[in-house]
Amino acid sequence: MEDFESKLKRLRLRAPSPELDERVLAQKPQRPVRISLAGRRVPFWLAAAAAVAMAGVGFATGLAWRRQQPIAAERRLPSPATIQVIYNSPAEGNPFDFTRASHFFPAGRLEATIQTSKGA
Amino acid sequence: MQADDGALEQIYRRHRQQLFTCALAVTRCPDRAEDAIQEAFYRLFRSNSRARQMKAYVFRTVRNAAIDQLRRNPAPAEELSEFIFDPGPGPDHAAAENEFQRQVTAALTTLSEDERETIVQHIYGDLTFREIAKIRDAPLGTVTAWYQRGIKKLRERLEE
Repeated sequence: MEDFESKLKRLRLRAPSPELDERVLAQKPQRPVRISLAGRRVPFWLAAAAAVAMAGVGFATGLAWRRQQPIAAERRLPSPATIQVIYNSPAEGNPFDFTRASHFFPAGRLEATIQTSKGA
Repeated sequence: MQADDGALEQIYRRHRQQLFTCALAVTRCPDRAEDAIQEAFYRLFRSNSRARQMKAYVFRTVRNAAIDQLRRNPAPAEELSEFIFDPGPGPDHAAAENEFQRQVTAALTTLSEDERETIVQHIYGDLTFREIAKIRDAPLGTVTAWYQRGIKKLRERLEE
């Protein structure tokens, strides 16, 4: 650059206001952070292999633990049942009475309601 | 794909002063020059273009915004007597330099718009002639001619 141009260049320029930076850069849009799959530090195959290995270890540990447990004796108790017999029914033709032994079995139809409830 | 915001911010931070000076040379008003820069970067941050010569593209957008500012507000703003130069030189500034600055300002106003803007862009905007040609959408030879002619006139006026 010639002397004259250098001399021109040395002149002090008017500076923009300090607020200009804020005015300009505040307009910069906030973009959502994109997670680049290509830029992963842990490759997919390694992550998948680790997941499979961990699942295998978990399954084996669970199996070993179950084998160490004593086998509990299971008894299946029959469900208690309540049989309710209607005797001395006011209804005609149902005069059967269980409260007394009887050889007499009246003719007719015996109506009985059976209420069954399972025990806990 | 959006313009690279990081690259734009970098260009802004690196050429902040030059962008302002070039915009000021068009608007002749500091407030309008800053408005033009803000408007230009609003457009740039949202543009989809990926210019190969990003710096020239940014300067061109700022220049267009400065011209738009003038078109939108045709009423002449208070014209700066100091043009693009510092209005309040520091106390260490020699009187001779202050006088030179005043003479340069006066001489610049006598040049054509093209000559004056080319000198500002090249000397104070740190732009190459090729970049100026791209910004102004003019042939390289024309830009060089504007500059040479302008500098010659400037020198002659200052020697008078």
